[in-house]
Amino acid sequence: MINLKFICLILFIALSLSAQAQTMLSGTVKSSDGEPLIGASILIKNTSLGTTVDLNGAFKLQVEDKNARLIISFIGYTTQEIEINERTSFDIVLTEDETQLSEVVVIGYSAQEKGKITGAVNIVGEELISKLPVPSIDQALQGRAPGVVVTQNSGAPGEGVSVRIRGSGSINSGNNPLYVVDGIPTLDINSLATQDIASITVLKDAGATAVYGSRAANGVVIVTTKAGGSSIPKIQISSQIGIQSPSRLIGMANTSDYVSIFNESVNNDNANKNPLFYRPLITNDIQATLPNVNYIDAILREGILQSHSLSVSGGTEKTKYFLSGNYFDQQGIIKSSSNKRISSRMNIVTEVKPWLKAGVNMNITNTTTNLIGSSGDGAGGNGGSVIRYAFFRTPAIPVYNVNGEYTDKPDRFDLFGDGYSPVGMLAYNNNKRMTNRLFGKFFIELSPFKNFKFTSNLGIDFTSANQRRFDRNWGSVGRINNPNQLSVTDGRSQTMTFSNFANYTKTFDQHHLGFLAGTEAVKTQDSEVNASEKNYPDQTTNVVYLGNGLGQKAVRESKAGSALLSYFGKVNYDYKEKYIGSATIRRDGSSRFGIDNRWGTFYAGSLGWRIDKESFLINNTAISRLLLRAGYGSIGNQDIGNYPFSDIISSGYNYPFGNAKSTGYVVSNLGNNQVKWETSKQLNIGLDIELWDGKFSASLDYFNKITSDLLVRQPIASSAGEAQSPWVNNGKVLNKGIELALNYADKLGSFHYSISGNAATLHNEVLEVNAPISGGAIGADNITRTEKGYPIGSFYLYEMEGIFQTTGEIFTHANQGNGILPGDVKFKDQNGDGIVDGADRKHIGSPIPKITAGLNINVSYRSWDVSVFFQGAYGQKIFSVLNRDIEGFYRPFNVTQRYFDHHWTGSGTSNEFPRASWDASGNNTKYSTRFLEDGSYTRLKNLQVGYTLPNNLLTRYGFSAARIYLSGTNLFTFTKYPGLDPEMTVSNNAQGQGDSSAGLDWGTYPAAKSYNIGVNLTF
Amino acid sequence: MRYVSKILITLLAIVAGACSDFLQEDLQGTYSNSTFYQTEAHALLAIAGVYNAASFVSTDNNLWVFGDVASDDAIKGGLAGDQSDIQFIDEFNYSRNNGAIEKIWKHYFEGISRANYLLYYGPGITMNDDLKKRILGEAKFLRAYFYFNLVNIFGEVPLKLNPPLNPIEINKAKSSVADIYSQIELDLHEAIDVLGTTYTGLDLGRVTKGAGLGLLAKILVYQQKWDASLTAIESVDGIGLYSLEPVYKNNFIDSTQNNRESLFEIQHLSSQLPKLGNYLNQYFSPSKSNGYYFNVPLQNFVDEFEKNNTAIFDPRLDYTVGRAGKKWINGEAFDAAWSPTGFLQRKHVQPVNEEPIIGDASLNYVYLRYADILLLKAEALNELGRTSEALLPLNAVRKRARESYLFDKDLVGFGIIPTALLPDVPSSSQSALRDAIRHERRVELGFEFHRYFDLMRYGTLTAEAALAGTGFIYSKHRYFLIPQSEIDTNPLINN
Repeated sequence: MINLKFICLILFIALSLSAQAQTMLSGTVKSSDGEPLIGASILIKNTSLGTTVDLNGAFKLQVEDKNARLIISFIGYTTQEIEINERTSFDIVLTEDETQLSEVVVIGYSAQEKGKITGAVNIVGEELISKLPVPSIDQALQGRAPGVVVTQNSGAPGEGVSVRIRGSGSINSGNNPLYVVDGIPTLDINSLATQDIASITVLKDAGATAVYGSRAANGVVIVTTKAGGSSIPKIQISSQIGIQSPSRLIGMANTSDYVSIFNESVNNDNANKNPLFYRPLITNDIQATLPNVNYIDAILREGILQSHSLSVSGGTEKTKYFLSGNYFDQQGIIKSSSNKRISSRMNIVTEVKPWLKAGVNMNITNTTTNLIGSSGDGAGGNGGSVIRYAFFRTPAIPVYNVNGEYTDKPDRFDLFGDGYSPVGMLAYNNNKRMTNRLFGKFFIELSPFKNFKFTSNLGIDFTSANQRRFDRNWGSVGRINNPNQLSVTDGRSQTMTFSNFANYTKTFDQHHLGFLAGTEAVKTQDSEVNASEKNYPDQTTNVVYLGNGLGQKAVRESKAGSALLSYFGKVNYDYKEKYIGSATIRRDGSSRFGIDNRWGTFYAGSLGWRIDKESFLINNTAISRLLLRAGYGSIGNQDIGNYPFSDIISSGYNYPFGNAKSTGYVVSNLGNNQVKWETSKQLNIGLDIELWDGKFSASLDYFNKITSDLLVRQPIASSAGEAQSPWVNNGKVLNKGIELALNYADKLGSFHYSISGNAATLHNEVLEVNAPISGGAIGADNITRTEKGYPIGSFYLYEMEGIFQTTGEIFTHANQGNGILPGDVKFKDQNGDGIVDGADRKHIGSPIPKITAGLNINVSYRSWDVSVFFQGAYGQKIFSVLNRDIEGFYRPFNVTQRYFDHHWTGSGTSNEFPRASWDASGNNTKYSTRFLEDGSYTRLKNLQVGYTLPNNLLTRYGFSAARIYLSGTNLFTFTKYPGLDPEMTVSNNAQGQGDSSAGLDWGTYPAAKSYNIGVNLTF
Repeated sequence: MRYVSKILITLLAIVAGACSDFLQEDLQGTYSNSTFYQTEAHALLAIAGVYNAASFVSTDNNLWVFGDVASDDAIKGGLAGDQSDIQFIDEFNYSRNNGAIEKIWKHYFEGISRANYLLYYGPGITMNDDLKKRILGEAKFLRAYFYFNLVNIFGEVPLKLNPPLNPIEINKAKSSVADIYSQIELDLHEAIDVLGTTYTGLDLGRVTKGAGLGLLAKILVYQQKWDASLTAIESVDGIGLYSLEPVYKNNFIDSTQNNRESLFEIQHLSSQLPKLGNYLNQYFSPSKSNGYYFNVPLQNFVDEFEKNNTAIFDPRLDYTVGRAGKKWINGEAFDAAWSPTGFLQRKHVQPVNEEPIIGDASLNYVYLRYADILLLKAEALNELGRTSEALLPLNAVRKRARESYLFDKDLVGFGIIPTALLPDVPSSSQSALRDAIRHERRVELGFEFHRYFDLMRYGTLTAEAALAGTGFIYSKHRYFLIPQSEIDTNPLINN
């Protein structure tokens, strides 16, 4: 309903804008070589009336005053002013503006001409960002820039994405890049609407990022939002609606197969047992009463995804504005999950005096998310992972019992399992988070004299969040959430950024110099109040409010803060735009380090050589640009929690003396006052080439980045207690690789096409670490180990050699323990000591892709356009924790169809899937390569067919451009991975363990494919 | 233009002003090491944290797995396939990655670490001196208790007496069993000197001098230091506070906790946030009450109980075990189908009307009660060849058991002791008396998490005979494997 009203409003505005005129002017606007200048603006001087040039280079405009003047402008061309002089037809030719020709790129506290950039920088334009129906910019970046690896951690609406630029430099501390939105640094860009983005610049090497020193070790993503133009107002509407469904699922056994394998395991196990411990069979009588339920289907649905945006932009010569409203609404494909975001943006800048500009950029967002437990293992309560419960649940349990209630624990739970009903969990789920965020800046720019500009940005990032979660009591004998509990959390987070910097450029002879100097102060304060109450006698949602419960109540308040203070300077120099150099220095202080280790100094230098400007190439017609670049620099990282220098002594460890609670405190986190900056030193060498007037372009980069003094939460001896281990600086990691981006665009008559591709390699290796660091915790076990000579978070497992086919084979093989029988998994005795034990685990693959790539093909013919976008990652391994549970068969859980069909039933029947036996599960489900899978994939991320409405149709309704399109996302995935999604391998379980625990698939919210229809309109 | 310089100067002033102390951020809302361990109140907060580790609030405190499930009294029970790590312990087919082993290792060392923090910083706190000594004494007692359990389960373990302040304190090699025992003795002696004899009101539940002496007696018996053990027991009696409850079951009932028989009792309280109730009642209850029915008695244990010629059993059997034909905890008929063996233990289970919310029960856990002291005394005397003296404490325990019929109104046949039930043990040879004492310990203390450790100290023959059929080999299995996580993180321990 909201959306319908919204669209009506937009149409109303549109119609009222196009309802006045007397004389009709028409004509064309072309470049000097006859190309139509689509989108050029024609403005009647001293009014806000005007139009833009359509796809054929033509325009129509109604005027009252036949002697008014027209101002015709287009980016990159010299603005013209002409008198109408009672003419009605115009053929206007704009000439290229040489001074504006080179594209300017925002690279941090300053802008630089593209041709002079000597760092490894990728630019992703507006058209690519807004193409996909995704809620956030980071997802839109996937596959768009070489060396930028974006993976979606979960398909849950509103959930996180991990972005890695040039690999993982850190073991436990953050590996996410720094985002800088219109000059204000932030770590969270989820609140920005993709439709508001003008461009994204990704800075990858130290030469480019050093100016952001302290926080740039993992790269910088600079986001520039749209600005108003100084021509006539423009209204843009884009609207998209689609249907999502699961893209891949795992085939599970049906009831008759489950009964068959259950009984097979009973017979296998009872054969070697004291009759006292016999497990019962599922008899034919019982089997005759069983339903056959597909629990995965039972929790899934088709979800609607929609996104609508309205923006207006325009301005006068002195004041420019861009205003927008956006709406994004995603129903999850698992029932009860959804995410809705309403946002608006206001970008205004005005020239107060010739030497003073002031402006505000402001983004206001309201996000509502219905959360369900779908990540990691989640133990019990509403927080349990429904997707895992759905996989585990045997198909033999009816969804509803005879009373029409959700069946929780079946009567014969010894045969069919005692897990919670995932359908009931979703139906009773009540966990909603509402977030309001205000993010933006006020800024002034002073230009007291030529070539000097002083900028002062006051950045405001204020978030308030409210989360209400009610764990309803239900289930067999009320076993789930007993007593019920309501928990309400109110959190506030505010970051103030105050940056002041000056830019000065100076040219003498052919020498161009640019200077930058500035300071930046960032202060963050987070606070949270949580109240909870138990035992609500009435579980109706409307009365479950704090104060109405009868049980225990608790209130907790927490607060944390951090601060960063920085000084930076940069010099750019070039001679004849041929020899280019830059040098940067930045000094940062962080509140996160003890008083002696607070400050770090970071620097970088880079050089470039425009070979095409040399005399030997200057007359060459093929090469329009050839730039050789090299840079080296050091950058810091402090992305760890607050107060790592201090032990934390926490409450909640109470004891009841005299039947009353006595409060107890315990050291819960160990501090280290010696902890200091993690530092990366990076070398980058690159080559940019552009041929045939830009038809073909390519960039090739080699980088070598060594991160030292790694910030690590070094696990300490388990006999040292359960306090969180301290942050230490330990170790050194190498990331190196080659990145290639290629682009070719051309046309054959009306047939336009472009192909762009990018690919990157990555070699990640730990060069030094004091003692190996275990990660990837599954219960008491750790399955990854970060150790010298191997990648971060490398899998450290037993190696499955196959299945024992005969008793003789068991005797001749190394001893794996008691009770091994034919059909059980055989492990490799790596050290050859005749016993398979902990010493036989080995490094056996890594979750970090060795190669990542993206391919984008666009073709258009007259009004039609088609684009295809593939994205892939190769060489990474995934450990499927889920498969251990649904193929390990160690208790009444359902099994995969694959396991059922192929498991060992006698000599020679399988060398891959062991026999059905619960007793043998201790051996067969050992953390081994049995559950390690190849995670490589190629995905058809997006396929889009668009149609641009013809001009005559447009003018009749007052549009200047209109395009409708159909698109599909995640339509195909080519992979050998048997799980839900090769991308979704960072779960909640890995939180706090960082990249030492990636690549564990617990069975997360499945990825969706979607079919969408959309329309873009411009007035 | 003249505004420019004004604006610039103003901005620079703001920047400069912001700089002082801009980077100073201190921990908010809780204590840091620079603000804690300063006052008397802190000492009291810290000691409560040490006690917390002893309680059965956290399922990581799984002492019952080692004391009972590993022994000949019980099997894991529960749903087949559930908690298979406990099953592997039951079968002595565990690996170093066993979760149950990892849990108790970490949990008890966490308790030790909490005690060590207090013992390290506590002496520097300015506070009432007597109170300080007492609190440090409590910490020493608890450290001794944790180490005693660890040495019983693992044998040689690293002996940590300082908090994890640096790598030297964090990574320690294993100490010999004898060294660990000497430290336990030392801690207990120091604790005994400063602990109060009894506490009331809001101090009820603190460890007492009697607890210290009793635990000392117990660890001395474990080391076969019989004379010293008797001295300690004499001191326990010297306090004059301890005697047997007339009704055996009062030791396992919420309303009669902290009674005259109790020396060291771990306190629980339900309906607190965070929880202070025990999880055991859920773990040991039948599935129909949403329990997991773990730790179920074996027929062999049931058969250990004496009966008279009219087939009337030692009343302790039905105080300890639920079985067919008898009533279960809420008065309903016991159904043998609730358990894979047909039995459930009942010492840690509470009636629904007392504790409707399962998994957060108020029932305490009595680690050390006077009946145990009496049996330790009998054992020490007997081992010293003073067999006739040994009969006295032994028969006191038997007398109380049979006199349940005189004091427990709920017992069928209340009022008259059935003939020939639990007669006094007559004087006999040392070895016959040894068997009688061991038998008495098994039935008197059944399902109180002691049996496996008793079996181990009885030696190879007894232990292997009792655990026949499980894969148990004394030389290999007496002590459990140190968990893989310790080996992976502590360079000084590699097996």
